[in-house]
Amino acid sequence: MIPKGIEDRYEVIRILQETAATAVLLVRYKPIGALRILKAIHKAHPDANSILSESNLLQGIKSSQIPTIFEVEDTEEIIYLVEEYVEGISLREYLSGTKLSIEKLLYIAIELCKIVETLHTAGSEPVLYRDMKPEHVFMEGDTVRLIDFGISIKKSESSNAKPLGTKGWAAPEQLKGDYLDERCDVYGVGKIIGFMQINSYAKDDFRIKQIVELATNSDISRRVKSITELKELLEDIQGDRVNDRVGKRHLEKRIAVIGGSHGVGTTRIAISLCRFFNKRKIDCYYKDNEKDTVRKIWMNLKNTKLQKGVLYHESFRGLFEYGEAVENQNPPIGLKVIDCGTNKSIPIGTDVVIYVTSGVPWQQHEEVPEWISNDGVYVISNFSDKISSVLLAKSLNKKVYRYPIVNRLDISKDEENVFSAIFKNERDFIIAKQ
Amino acid sequence: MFFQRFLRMKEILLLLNNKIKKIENKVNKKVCVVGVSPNVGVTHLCISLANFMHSVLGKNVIYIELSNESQLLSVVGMKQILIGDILAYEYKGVRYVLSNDIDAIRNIMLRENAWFVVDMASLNEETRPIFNNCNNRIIIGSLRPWCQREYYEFIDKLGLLEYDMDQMTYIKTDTNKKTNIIASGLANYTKSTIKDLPIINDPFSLKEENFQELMDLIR
Repeated sequence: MIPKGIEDRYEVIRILQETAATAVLLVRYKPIGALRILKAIHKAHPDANSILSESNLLQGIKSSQIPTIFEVEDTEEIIYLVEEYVEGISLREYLSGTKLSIEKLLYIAIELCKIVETLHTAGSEPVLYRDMKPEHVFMEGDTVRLIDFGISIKKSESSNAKPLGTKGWAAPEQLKGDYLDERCDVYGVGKIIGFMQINSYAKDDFRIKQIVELATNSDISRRVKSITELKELLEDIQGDRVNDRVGKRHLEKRIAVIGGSHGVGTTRIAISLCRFFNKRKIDCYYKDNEKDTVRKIWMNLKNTKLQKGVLYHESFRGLFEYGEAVENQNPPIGLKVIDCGTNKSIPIGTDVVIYVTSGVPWQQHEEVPEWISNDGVYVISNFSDKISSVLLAKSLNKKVYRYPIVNRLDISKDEENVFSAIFKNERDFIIAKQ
Repeated sequence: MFFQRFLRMKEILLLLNNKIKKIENKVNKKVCVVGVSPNVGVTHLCISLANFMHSVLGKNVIYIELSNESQLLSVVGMKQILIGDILAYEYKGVRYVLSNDIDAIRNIMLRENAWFVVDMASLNEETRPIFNNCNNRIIIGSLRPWCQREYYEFIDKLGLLEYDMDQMTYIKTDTNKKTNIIASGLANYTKSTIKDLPIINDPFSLKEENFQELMDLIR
């Protein structure tokens, strides 16, 4: 189905897709010899207006990463649209021959977020793209581009929009025909990031896994709230890597200490870890996510000092979480050790996880979290003998660090040895013995 | 030998004392503040204490203003809540009950698992049950030479010396050489130290430098 009367301007190079009532053609624009895409649809087709709405939607959106629309014609029988031909290959094709580095993965993901951000902030109201999938993300050298706006809509039209989208890629609320907002595209971008992660060297990076989980949560209220927020989460990881290159390795790193169950010594280990870094002149702050540890230390220990929201006691530094009625404190810059108690959700922005388990018989059969095998996750077995540690290491297929028995408040030499052994593996925390 | 026994005994007594203090700390605090005369800063101190207890000590705090006409409503009255069937307000995590219904307030103090700060406009026979129900009573007054008599009369008239000395705190509003001398006389009379009123600019935005003084008042 080739529209009549286009021959004087367009030469058909190839028919990319054709049905009885629709056609997508690769054409050459004769006056300047440039390749373009011509999409045509018969007026009798139920989706005939989709071409007009696509051109209306993209009008006024200024982005070099979205195809430019050159012409829309409404003839007696056919409506057709001529748009820029995007060269390059789709992300699916690209990944079939390339394994992504973490830097490249973050780059593509952030670029994609920027494109969607442009759509969400364009004109008088957000445009919802609704069709994110690897076939629609194009790699033109290093430039990431997004194509095919056939089912995109304005946000105000979402209540009447048909439940269109690709199964496995579109957000559940979109496929069900529920109310839609910008978070349907957050879901789509999250799926693309997950797809890229599988085909990357960052396959076991829990930070990216975590972002994917947050972005693709089927419960919309628990999903990342906007594409800008998603972009910032990715930029945080990217920022870490930029800092790595300029030598600020330990700044703003976060170590989460997570206990397998109650009473395994998570708090003790987190506090000792904080002391360990501070003794080595690396500013490190303990933060308690689950309990009131810092407050209790302040109330029960002598010789403590509170300054700018930080509790100081010998080599310990704890972040004091004040309520609203205390003047604002800027969080200090430095390494953060986060005591998560037994909460198995890794806090956002975590770089290293220390999982604490216990060797005592009544605490041994806890279920280990799925992320335990990931890179950057270290296992400490507390109150354990050599045999139980070896057995645990065998069952996890991972090195297990045996924690010494401690009976004093300050950090012992044996504890320091455990932390030294762990952090010598992390290139960002190269710590020499004092 | 005797000296060693004495030391051992002293150690045991200290341990016992610490244990008692720890248990006391676990009991919900009920602090009330009364002014010897109007405008000595009772409400200012009460708000500071309530905010300190909640925002620094992390306690669940109910502030009670025993007054017919509350000046606080315009500040804390944005969010209405109910405590049982009593109307209250929540602001920066502290719950405010602004009422002079003694029975309702006694009920709240009995029923709710919280720390209380009671701002008492006056101490009289009607409000005395609330005062008696508290385990930390703070009296604020001026010890300027022309005001000191009023402070003594207030203590005598209300029989404050009969209360457990550990549960009473006397505060003076001004600090200078003269008031310090007068304070030492009052300290002898009440058998307790006379503290200075903490200087707090904004009780809704406390500073770390205020924490120690506020902590001392509720210990």
